[in-house]
Amino acid sequence: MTHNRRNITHSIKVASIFKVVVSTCILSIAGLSYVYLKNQLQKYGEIQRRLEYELTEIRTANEAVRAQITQLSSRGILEKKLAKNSLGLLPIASDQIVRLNQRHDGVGDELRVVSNRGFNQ
Amino acid sequence: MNWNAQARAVTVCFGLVGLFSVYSVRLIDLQIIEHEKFTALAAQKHNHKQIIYARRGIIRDAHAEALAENVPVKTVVADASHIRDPVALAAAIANQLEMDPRDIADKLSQTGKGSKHIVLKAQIPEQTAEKIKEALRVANLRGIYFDQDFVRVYPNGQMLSQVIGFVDHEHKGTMGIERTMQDFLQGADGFRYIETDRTGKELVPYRGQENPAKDGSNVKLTVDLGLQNILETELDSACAEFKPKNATAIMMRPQTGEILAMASRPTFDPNKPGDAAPDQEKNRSVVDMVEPGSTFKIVTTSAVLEEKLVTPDTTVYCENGHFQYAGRVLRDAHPMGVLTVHQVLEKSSNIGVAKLALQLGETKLYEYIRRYGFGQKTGVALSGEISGLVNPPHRWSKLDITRIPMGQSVAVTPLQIVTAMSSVANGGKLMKPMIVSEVTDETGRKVASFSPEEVRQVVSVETARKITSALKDVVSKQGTAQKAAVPGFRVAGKTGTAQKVDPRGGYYSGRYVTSFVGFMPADDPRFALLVLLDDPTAKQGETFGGTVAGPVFSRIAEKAARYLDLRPTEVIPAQRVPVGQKRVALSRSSRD
Repeated sequence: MTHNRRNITHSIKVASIFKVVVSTCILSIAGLSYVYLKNQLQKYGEIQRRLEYELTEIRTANEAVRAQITQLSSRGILEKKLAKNSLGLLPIASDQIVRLNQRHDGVGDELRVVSNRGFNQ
Repeated sequence: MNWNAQARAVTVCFGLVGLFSVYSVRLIDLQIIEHEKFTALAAQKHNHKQIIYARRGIIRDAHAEALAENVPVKTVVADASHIRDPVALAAAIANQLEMDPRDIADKLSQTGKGSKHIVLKAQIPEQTAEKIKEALRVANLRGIYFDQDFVRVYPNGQMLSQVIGFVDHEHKGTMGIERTMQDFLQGADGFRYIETDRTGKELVPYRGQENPAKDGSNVKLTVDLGLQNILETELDSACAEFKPKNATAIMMRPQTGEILAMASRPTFDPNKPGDAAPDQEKNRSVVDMVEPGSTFKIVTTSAVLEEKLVTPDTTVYCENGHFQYAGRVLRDAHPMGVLTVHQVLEKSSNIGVAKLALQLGETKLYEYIRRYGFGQKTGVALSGEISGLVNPPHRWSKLDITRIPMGQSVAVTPLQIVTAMSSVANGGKLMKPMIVSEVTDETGRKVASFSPEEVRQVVSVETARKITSALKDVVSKQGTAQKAAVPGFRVAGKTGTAQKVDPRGGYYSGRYVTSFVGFMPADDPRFALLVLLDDPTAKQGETFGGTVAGPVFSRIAEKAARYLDLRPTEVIPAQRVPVGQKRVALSRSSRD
C-alpha cells in the first residue's frame, strides 16, 4: 500500500529544476558574456585603431614640421633673409680683432686674482 | 489513419527530408568541399597586407645640421568598390587635387567597379590631405584613401649637392652619399596583415602577423657646412670672375683625411634633379681627371730628398730656360740659371725638376708617384671615383721622365692632389680621405663609425718638413703664388698651370688648368685646400695658378681661418675701414 501511494505521488523535483535553471543561467551568462566580450573587443580594437591613427598622424605632422623648420633655418634661406632685411652687419676686419691670452698648458685650477688692469689702457 | 492520409504524411516527410538533404549537401559543399576556395575569396576581399613604410635616414654635417631630410606626403588612392557616386566624389576632391573633375570621374569609371587601388595623385602635402578628408566627411562620401609616402628634400639646395647626391622615384640613392650609404639610409619596410569590414575599416581584433618597420640610419658627414658655405661662395665668385669651363675646390683636415668641404661647378639643385644636365651632376673631385701641372712637383722633389740624393741646398743648373732632351726642348716660364732644390720648388722650374727626376730614375719616380696615392682610388665613400691614369715605367716614352715630374703625361683626380698635399702637411703620412664620420640609428645608437686611416708613410717627417719649407717660400714675394698669401698666417702651397689636353692629341694653345693647393697655418696646418679652375678666362699672360687660383685660395683660407678661430701668427697689416662705417674693437693693449 505504501509502495503504491509513493508511486502515484507527483512531487516537484526541485533539485532537477534547480539544475536546469542553473545550467540555463550559466549557459546564458556564458553566451551573453561571450557576446559582451566580443563587443568589448571590437570597441577597444576600434579605440586602438583610432589612437594608432592619431599617433601616426601626430608623428607625420611632427616630421613635416621638423622638415619645415630645417628648411626655414637652412643657410640659403637665412642668408636671403639677412640680405632682404639688410641688417647692415659687417665682418670685423682681421686687424681689429683682439685676442685675449689663453691659459697656458700646465696651469691648474688654482685660485687667481681677477683683475681688469690692462684692458682699459 | 487511412492510407491516403498516411501516404500524404510520408510524402511530406520525404519531401522535407529531401529538401533538408539538398540544403545539407549544399552546406557540406560550401563548408567542406569548397572551403579553401571561399576562404581565399573572403580573404581576398577583406584581408590585406598593409605596408608600414620605413623612414629614410637623415644626412647631417659635422655639426648635425641637416643636409637631406624627409617631408611626409600622401598618395591619394581610390577604392572603386566603395564608391557609390563617382561624379559627386570627383567634384568634392577635384579642387584640392587641382585636377579636372571629369578626369577624376573618368579615371574612377574606366578602371572598373572592382578596382581597389586607383592612384589619383601622388606626393600631395599633408595639409591638402586633411582638407580632402574634411570635404569627404562633409559630403558624406567614401572610397578615397591615403597612402603614406615621403619626398626627399635638400634644405640647402645646391650646396654640397654633388657630394650628397639624390634619390630616384623609388627612394634609392642614385649618386653621392645617398648612393654609397644606401644600405644604411634605406631602412626596411615593415608589414601587417589586417582584416577590414565591408566599409574598408580595419577590424583590429582580427589583426594578423605584424613586422614593424626599421627606420634607416642617420649618416653624419665630416663636412662642416660653415666651411662649405665659405668655399662655395668664393668658388662662385671665382667662376663669375674667370668663367672657367668647370671648377673644383676641396678642403681637407691633413692629420685625419677628413673632408671639410668639397664643391664643383657647374652644379645643380638636388631638389630638382630632372632639371640638371649630366655635366652638372658630376662630382669632379672624384670623377674627373686632369693633368696636375706643377703641383705634381712635390712628388719628385720629396722623392730625391727622401732618397738622400740631394739636400735642399744642392744646386741644379736650369739651363737658362732651354733644356734639350730626347730631341725635344723643355722650357721654363722664366729663364733661370743655377737654383737650389729648395728654389726649384719655390720658383717652379720645369727644367730643375726634370733634372731631379733624371737623377732619381724612372722606377723610383714611379714608386713615389704610387706611394703618394696617384693612379689608384683613394677609397673615399663617394660614388663614381676613378683611379686616374699613371702608366708604369715600361710604357713611358723616353720623354716622359722629364714631363711627368712637372705634371704632364699623368692624369689625377683633384682629391688625389689634395690628399698628396695633406701628406706633406701632416709629416709624410698618406691618409685615406674620409667623408662619413658615423652612422647612428633613430635612437642615436652608433651603428658604424669611421676613424682616420693611415695608408702609409710616404716620406719621413724630416723630408716633409723640408718640402714644407720650400712650399712656404712659394707663397712669398720670390715665389709663384704671392697672391695666395693670407694676412696673419704663413701659407705653404704650390701652384699648377697645366696646358689643357686636346682630346684629338697634344695640347690646346693658350688654354690651361690652373690650380693652387696648399695648407695653413704652414707650421701647424688646420686644413689643406685645393682650388682648381679649368680653362679660366684671364688677361693675356696672367693665366697662371698663382694669379687665378691663388687669390681664390687666399680668400677661402682667410675666411676659413676666421671661422675656425685660428690665432694669427704674424702681424696683420691695418685694413682700410670704408668711410662712414665704424667697427668697435677692444683695446689693442690686450693683444698678445
